[in-house]
Amino acid sequence: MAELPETARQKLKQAVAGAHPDADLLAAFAENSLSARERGPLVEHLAACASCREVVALAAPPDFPTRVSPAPERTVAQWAMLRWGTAAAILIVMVGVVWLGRTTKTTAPKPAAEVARALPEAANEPTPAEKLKEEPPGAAAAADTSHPGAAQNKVEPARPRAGKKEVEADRVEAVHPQAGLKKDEEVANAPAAADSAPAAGKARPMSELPSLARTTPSSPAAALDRMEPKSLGTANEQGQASMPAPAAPAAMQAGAAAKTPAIARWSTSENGALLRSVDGGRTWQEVWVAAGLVFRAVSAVGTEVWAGGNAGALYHSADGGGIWTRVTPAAGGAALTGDVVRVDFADAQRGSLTSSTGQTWLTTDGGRTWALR
Amino acid sequence: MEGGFQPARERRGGGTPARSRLALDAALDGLCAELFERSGGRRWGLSAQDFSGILAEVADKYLPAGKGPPGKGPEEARELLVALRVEELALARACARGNDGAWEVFLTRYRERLYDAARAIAKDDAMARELADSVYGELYGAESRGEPRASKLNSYMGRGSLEGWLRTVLAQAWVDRYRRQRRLVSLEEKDEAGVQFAAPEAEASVAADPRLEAATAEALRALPAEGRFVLASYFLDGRTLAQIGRLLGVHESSVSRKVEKITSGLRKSIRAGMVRRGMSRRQAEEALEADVRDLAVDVRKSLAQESAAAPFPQGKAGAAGSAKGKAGVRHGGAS
Repeated sequence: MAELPETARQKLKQAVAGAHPDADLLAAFAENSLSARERGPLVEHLAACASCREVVALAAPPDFPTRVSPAPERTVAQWAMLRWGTAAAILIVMVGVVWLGRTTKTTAPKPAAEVARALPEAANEPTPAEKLKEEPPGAAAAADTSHPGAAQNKVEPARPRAGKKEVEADRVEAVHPQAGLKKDEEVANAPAAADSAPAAGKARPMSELPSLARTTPSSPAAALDRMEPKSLGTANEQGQASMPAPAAPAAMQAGAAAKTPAIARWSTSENGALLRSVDGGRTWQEVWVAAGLVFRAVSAVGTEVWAGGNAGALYHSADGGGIWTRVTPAAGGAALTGDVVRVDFADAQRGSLTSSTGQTWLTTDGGRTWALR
Repeated sequence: MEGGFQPARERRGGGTPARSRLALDAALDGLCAELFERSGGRRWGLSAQDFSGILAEVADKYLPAGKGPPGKGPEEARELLVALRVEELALARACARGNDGAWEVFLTRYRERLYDAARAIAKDDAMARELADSVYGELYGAESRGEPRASKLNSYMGRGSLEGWLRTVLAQAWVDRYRRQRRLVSLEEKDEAGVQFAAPEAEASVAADPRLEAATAEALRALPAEGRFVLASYFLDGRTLAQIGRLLGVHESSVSRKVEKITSGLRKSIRAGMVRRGMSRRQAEEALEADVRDLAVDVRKSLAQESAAAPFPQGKAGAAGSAKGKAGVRHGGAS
């Protein structure tokens, strides 16, 4: 680093600033929420005022994340498969590039039939990951499709992998209309995205995608269906079969490449945004859920994510942040009041939340029913 | 006036100030009502009229009165108001009024965060607790007979997050109270005495060439404020690249490049300024090199102390600087 001349150093020290800005402006500056008109004079003051510089430095927001959901431990076998999968990463990238070239020609969502036809082609691709098709699927966080809403916020949230062709097709049709992405495009886009964003997964042939049949709602209505005992139970069983521990087998993670780890971490920002990291917390991306929400707490177990915030907002995603469902705890005439300030889920079924009004709600069935403690 | 702004003269404590510009624009009434609904202030006992008064207070404080082309005022006001943290503003103001429900929410949300922030600032548990408790006292406020509760939360305007504002208040209290032993003039005392909180002048080991001084002053004046802020933060305050990056909202590698670019550009400007003042290039270069070598290594050492992060060097330089600060003008530009 070049040296600063001593005379310049003295001149900087001797600078005389104007009136001190109030705490509101200093806080807004630290949060980068000042208008350009106000920021200029404030920076001018800070350049000359050592005490205000110290105040903003002391008051700077803490580094992200403010709260982190604990990541499940990986097993030894999974670490071994991860190493093996890493070795196959280059081959997967090449396959993905070829796949991208073949699928970027089209722009409109393909009908499900076309998507289904595409699957056998992908299945013929000789990839090491195919050997692990019989293995339990890995964590959904390493999925390589993009949620449209999140994509608008520069996020490609991990979506659960779909194994069944028809389920994949259904999910394509259920994609947010603004996404304009087809399933094959989503997969195809993943490799390119993976090079630039840690959140993106790498493209893999459809046949490699683990089975997620009947576990992921393909529409908001279907999302609500999972609240029913029968479907939820079925989903859970299948979920456990098709969506095992967040730590994915190495091959699946190889498909996601070394750049896209299988485990997502969740947090909230001080501004109430919901944040997710798929690279072990190195970078964080904002996950869009709905307009006007201010999140205060988040808890995640694998792909089951619960986020709570102001005005009783409680949202659940079963697919690692792709599709969200609003949940309103209620029991015996009582309903959730206040802000959700704490959410804790020990597993996919058992959890609790605390509100700012002192209420504590418990669930033992994954949020289908709640009890006020 | 339900849903609208109150005329300035009806505001508490108002004498005969000019009417708020916002009171003139009924088009903002709808916005006020919408913001009030969004704020949820009703549950804290705030009325729409109360909240309109709060919004008028914010607008009057931050909008340049009487400036700008006609008709632009309401647009600026709309822009300002829409960006406010209305929910937190309503909560803070309700707390300031003594609403128990609001306090319950405030304590649930912010009590632990306030103590965490105090610990991060004071880096000592006991001092952190003392700092946080003192600020809490100011937030809660004291009631006087016939007077509204004097809570510091009344000064929260919703420009930034309430948590960020609380951290800033803590930091100001820390800088103000707990560093007096460093012979600094407090921010409050500065306002009362009309004294500017200026940096003390460091003792120079060798008198600088007046052409070097003039060229340096000229080069610094030409630097954008952000450049001077980066230089001051890095070279004077000893902030890390990551800390500066966090304040500017950029990555530390960007800050590193910025510091390098600004410093080398500054040296070129100073050199060019000295040449314009009659020195040869070689003389200018030698003067600059000598100036760098005269850099007191002890200044760097004092700046390198992370916990102190002293903006000013200790000893005679500090005392001399304090004297200069007291004699300084209240308002002025960078020299």
